[in-house]
Amino acid sequence: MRRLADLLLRYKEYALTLLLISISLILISTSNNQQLRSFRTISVGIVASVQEAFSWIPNPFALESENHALRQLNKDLSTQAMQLREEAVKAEKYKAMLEFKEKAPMKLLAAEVVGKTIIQLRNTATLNVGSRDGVKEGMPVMTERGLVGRVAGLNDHYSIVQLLVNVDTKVPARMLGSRNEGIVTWEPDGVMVMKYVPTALKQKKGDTVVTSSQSIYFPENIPIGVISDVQEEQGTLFDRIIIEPATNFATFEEAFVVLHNPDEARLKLEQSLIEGESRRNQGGRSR
Amino acid sequence: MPSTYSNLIWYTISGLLLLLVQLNLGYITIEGIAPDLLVILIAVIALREGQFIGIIVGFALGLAFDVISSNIPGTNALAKVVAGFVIGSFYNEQLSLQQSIGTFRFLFIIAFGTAIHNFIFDFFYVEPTDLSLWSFFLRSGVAGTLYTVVMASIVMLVAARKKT
Repeated sequence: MRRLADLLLRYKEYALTLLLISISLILISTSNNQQLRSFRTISVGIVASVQEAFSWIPNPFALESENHALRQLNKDLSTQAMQLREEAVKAEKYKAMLEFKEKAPMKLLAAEVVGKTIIQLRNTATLNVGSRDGVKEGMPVMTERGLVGRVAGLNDHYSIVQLLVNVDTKVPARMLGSRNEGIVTWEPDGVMVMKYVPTALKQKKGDTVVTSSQSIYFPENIPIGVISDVQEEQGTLFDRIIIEPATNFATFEEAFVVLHNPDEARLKLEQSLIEGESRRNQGGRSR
Repeated sequence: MPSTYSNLIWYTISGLLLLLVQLNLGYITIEGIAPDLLVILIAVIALREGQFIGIIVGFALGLAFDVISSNIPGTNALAKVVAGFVIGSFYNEQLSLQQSIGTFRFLFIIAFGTAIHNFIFDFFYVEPTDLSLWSFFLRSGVAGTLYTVVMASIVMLVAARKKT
């Protein structure tokens, strides 16, 4: 016994280490013991109350990470708000389009603008509807605000629209108030003009210009724009009437194709007349 | 027993304070890595008072920290007993305070003791984590050891300036 005590005393560090390791392992193995858990709950509670008492001390590292998290949250919320605003604008636009489509006397096909040019002389827009959807060349295209142009070319899935803001586009038009008629064109200087309206017929600023029944391609009464200025053309008998287009060509993103087929008999007759005229002119020149 | 009763009082106060500080290390935690200030205290006591006292202090501080923290009870006690034993084996009663704590030898002992401590301690926590075994030891063990050595260097510098 004495020898064992001497041995333990000699190697007391090892003996103590072994003893304490054993106690630790026992504690680990009994960590789920209910009594031990209760004791720990109480002690953790006491420590937590002490911690709470000192919680007023600012923690710069925690503040930094909190700032970082708040900045990220702010960024995410800003993005969300921006998306929601865009969705709201779209929803408003779609609502207006839907209402217009329901009330319109013509058969309309909704389309999305997938490409457009508006700063050239011959501007066009590409719609995501084509012959597969019933679109045909020459069909008018409009928004709920007014005329956009007419289909100049198409394939199965897409249509190219020759816009009103195109120097090749000429639309027979009529003033809604005065009933005077003329031709609406887009001039190279970037102005929409109604031509061939006699100076003798007085025009009013603010009068709405709509498509007239003279056109083969466009159904009548589609808004084109509003008279913004009336200028006298020097040396002619006509006024130069400046029109503010009803459609904003810079921002329109959706449009309707008016499923309107021109009167074939009228079209043929007018085309044959034009061809006959040009043949006669050529014959006259050759003689 | 500690060399004087005044030392015993200082060790007790330091131990209690460091327990609270260790529990609130959010102030100096970097990327989730915190230094083990208790190991530094164990090392200071073990190198001044001997291996036997170092083992007892290691167990007492480890157990106390287990009780007040959410760690598995016994894990800190076990790791710190071993740390006290390992660090205490470097005890040399011939060395002065400056020589035992105020030199780079102290940092080496801290690094060695903390590495063993962290290895044992992390062993109990490696399974529930989603990190690989190697990255867990690298992150918690090596990074934690380095951070503890950095904090211990402050103790070393203070001890080096102190006249015995």
